[in-house]
Amino acid sequence: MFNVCVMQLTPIIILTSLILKDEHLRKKDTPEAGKVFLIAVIGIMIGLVYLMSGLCKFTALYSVVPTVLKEEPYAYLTWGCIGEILAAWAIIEWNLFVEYAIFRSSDYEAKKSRLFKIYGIAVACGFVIVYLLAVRFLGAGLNLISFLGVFMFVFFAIGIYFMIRSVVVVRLSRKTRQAPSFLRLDGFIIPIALTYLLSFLSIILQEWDARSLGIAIAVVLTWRSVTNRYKYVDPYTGFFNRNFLQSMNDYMEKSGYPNGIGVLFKAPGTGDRLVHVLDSFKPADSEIFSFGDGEFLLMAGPQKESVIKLLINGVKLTASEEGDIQEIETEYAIRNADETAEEFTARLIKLSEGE
Amino acid sequence: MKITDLNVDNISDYDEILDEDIAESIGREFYCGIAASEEGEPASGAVIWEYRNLDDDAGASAELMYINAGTKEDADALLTEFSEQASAGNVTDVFFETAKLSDDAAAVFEGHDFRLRSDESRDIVVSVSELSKLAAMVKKIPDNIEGLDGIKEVQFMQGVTNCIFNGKKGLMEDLEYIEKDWFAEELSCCVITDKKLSGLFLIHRFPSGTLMPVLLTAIGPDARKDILYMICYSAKKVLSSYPADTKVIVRRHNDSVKALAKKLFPDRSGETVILGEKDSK
Repeated sequence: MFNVCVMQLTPIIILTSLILKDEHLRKKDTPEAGKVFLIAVIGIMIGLVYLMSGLCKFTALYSVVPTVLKEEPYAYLTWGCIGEILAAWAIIEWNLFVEYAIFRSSDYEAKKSRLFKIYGIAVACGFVIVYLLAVRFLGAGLNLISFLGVFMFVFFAIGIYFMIRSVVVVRLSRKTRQAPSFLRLDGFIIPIALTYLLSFLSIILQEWDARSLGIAIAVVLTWRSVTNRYKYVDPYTGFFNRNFLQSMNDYMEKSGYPNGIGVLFKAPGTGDRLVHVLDSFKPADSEIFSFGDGEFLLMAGPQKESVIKLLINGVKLTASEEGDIQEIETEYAIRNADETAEEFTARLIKLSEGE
Repeated sequence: MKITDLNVDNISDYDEILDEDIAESIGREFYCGIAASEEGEPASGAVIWEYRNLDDDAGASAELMYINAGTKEDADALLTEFSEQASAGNVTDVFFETAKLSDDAAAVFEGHDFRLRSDESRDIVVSVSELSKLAAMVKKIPDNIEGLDGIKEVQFMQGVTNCIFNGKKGLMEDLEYIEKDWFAEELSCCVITDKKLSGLFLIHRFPSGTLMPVLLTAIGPDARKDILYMICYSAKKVLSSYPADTKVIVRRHNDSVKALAKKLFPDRSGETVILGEKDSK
């Protein structure tokens, strides 16, 4: 019993203290924080469920299940099914997090989230209905045990499927250039995969389930990669900062980063207004660096001068119509054919410093 | 033989030898045209071309969009002038597609190092009535597909900038110079994702009433679905606004469009035309 309590209380404590210690997670004030918070809460719920599942063997702590299932192994298996549904849910939410980290599209993520929620609610309702019907018609016995066992394996498989899907999504996205997402797939997949393996054995051996501990470790590592990103990215605007530009410079050429043109926008004293304007006009496959005090650098792949002028005119028009900003200073630079990516970035940094 | 450069001021003087649809192109950024005439006589021939890839260090190219040269003298004078102007623009490759070319004109082209052959046209022409299947492909168009007439100029600029930055210009070499009202706004549409235009389907209506899609692109994780939705949106609009016999030209200018046209119009193929090519290699 002590082992069960330690195994399930440890992840609950880890996740709860992570949430309480981190301001972004507490406030859920960025899209990543919202998603990781949800996964952490699901992890806590899984810990509680498996705690109940484990305690079923030792005490009469059955509460919500119908009379016939207050005995072993039915109560254990029922809690196990609920745990599997929650584990699959955690991995589905992490899938949504991965897609957001890659595509940075709230609309797309909201659409997928709605779809998964509908399926999730349908499955949960289906489980409850089928479960109650199975209890009513199968009664206690080997058939019910088999039904619950199959149900657990189905959700186990769903969890594995979504883990593999996230790897495939990331690999496919790398075929086109993507901004560094600081996404550490291994930070989530390795602890989860290991604990899935242990759980697979535990289902057979009827020993404790380490899934919630795996999820806790995975959430901590994932959140760490998100907060690492915050050293280089403004979490609210999503714009990179000067530190990132300077530190990325060593890897510009290898990274395939957009490094053909640079356009500087300066509107001191405009606060967040120019941020919103640039965010609304920013072309895909370009990056914006915030240098502070209303100064921003947009970098993109090679473009003609006429296209750069279209971009500048568009930003200025948007700024005057929607941001009430009438004056924006702009300068631009085009990378020369014989210039390396690093030399060009250094030139842009000097341009921003007024040299 | 007198050669006159065509421009927006004098184009109306050449109505008799120029197709109204091509005449509209004069004034666009990369379009040039010349007309040939004997002294004191009306123009007897004209050529209009479009420059491509002018900034390419490897050399620009040009497509002859319109050729009207009935006699050898016309063809020779026009091609000589064209060659001079094209060399000044560092043009290394020239090509054209034309429905008909007189034997005399063909001989002159060959004399100017063009290789001629007959082949299937890249254009397929469908009528509006054939779009009903397209319109029926999707029952409900999502709310994030909007007509071009429902968006502001600044949003259009953002959408066009987005497309060009991602290398998508369709048939429009001069996309960054074209105003929103050059397109058929009631037929064209866009995709709005995260409050930004992430896809465009632009259709142009020629003076003759013929329609031509000139850009179809979507960027983002749902790009394929968005393209389908835009096609269906525009097809529905065209069906409800234009007579059934209105022509729609689908120009299969690259492999993606060829594949899409094959899916949408599997039974259609291009007419037999004369293709001409010339390169400096």
